[in-house]
Amino acid sequence: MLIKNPILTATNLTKRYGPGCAKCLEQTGPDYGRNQCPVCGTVIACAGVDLAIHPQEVLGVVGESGSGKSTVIKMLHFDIDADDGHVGLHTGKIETDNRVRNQNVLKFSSFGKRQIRNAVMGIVYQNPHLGLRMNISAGGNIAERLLMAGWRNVGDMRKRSAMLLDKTEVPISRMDEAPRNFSGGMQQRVQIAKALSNEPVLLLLDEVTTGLDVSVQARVLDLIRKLQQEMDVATLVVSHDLGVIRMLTTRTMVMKNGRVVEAGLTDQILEDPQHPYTQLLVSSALH
Amino acid sequence: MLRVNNLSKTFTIHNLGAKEISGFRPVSFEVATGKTLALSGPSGTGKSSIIKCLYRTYLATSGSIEYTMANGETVNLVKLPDTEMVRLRQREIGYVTQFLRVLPRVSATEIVAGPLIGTGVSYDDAIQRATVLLRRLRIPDELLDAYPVTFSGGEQQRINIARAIIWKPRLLLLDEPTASLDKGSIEIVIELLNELRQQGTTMVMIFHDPDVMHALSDSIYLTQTIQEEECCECNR
Repeated sequence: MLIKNPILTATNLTKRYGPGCAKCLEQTGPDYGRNQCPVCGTVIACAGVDLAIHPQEVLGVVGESGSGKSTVIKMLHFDIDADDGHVGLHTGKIETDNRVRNQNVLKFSSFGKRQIRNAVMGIVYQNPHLGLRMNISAGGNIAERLLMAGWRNVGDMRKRSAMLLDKTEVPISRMDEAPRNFSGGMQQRVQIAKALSNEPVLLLLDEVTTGLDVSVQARVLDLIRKLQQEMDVATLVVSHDLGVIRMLTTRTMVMKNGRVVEAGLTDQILEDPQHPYTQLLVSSALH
Repeated sequence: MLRVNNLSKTFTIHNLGAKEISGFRPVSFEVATGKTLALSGPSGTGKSSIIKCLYRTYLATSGSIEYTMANGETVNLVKLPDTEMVRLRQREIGYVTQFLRVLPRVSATEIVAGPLIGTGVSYDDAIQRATVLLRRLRIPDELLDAYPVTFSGGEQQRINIARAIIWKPRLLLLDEPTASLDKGSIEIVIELLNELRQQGTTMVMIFHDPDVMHALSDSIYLTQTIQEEECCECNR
């Protein structure tokens, strides 16, 4: 059930690569079909993005490569520093909320950001190399994250790692093996276990099924859906795949050339798309 | 409970040079709490589109849909923020068509129990109620744990109907959910829907079969063919 207050509100998220000039914003975007400023050459990865994520909901961001959707998720996870924008958190975790009340967490020190990340967020990247240390055991990867979230007892951490790996259908017998030996789908499942280990309030999924073959993709999606329901975690799903968006999300934002061109209920976006780009996207889908 | 005022829908197809297509003639109607209204009219008069506007799968172009919620507050479904609409769909407004659009690799009972889980009903209890309902709809026991993608058209429609009525929505929108059911199954569906009516569910429905329509509706609204002068394309 949605309740009225979002756990995360972002306004005017903006990221540019280059010096920037007065014309950058008005000369780029979907109306021009480009995200590079013709005056100064700056690339506008994304600009003016507003979004709100409510408890337990699954919000989708869809768009083609280069539309800025991964930049948005990485700014929310503090992997990329935003050039402009405001992110407010109201997570329901009292300790975190007291620290961040009415503040723009984008302005926090890197230490402060890390604390927030460890307390309330989990992320799964398209590329498992970004989310996992490939040479440390699967169990060790999860334990490392638990350590950052304040866990200290080795036995407890090991127990929790095993539980999470079991939940994400990674054979526990392989928990002491390094993920570099695992298949792509298995690496993704270890990443999911790691992302969920600190019981995040917000789960960020960045193209998690891209590059996996269809049957593995299906298993990963089923797993995410099951865990999402079980754990009631609010989730932001970034994907270029309308099938993934249809399957997982209730609301969707459509991005193009670094801007949000349309946002709505997912079935409305798919059945009655308003923006020319969304219409093209929906009519291009294979099914 | 529901007051539709001059509702209209125009589709703008951008890759056909912003061609405009009218979805239906502007409609106005009212449905009182606990009453049922059937939309009736020739094919192509926009009955399904009207229902989709009510559910917000389509964004209405003009007009309003005033809906009085369980808490007594009246909202306009055309303008309601997305998150509020999601909440209404979870708590009050149900929608069912003849097409089963469900997640793959989920069993029949889980699909039907889905809307109950999260409303405070326990998983086991929800599954139990889904099983009872599916048996009443004469779904064979060996199919209860199977994936409905593999079911026959008629079985899929019964899964669909079960999912729509199990949580007893306040307002139920029905778009031909019995299109390919045999007579026996249709009678069971009529019985179930009439039970829901007695328990106070308001309904807006489309049924081509006049017998079904009359068995379920308190009143009928006739949709009309879009006339030439109203067709945006011809106005240019």
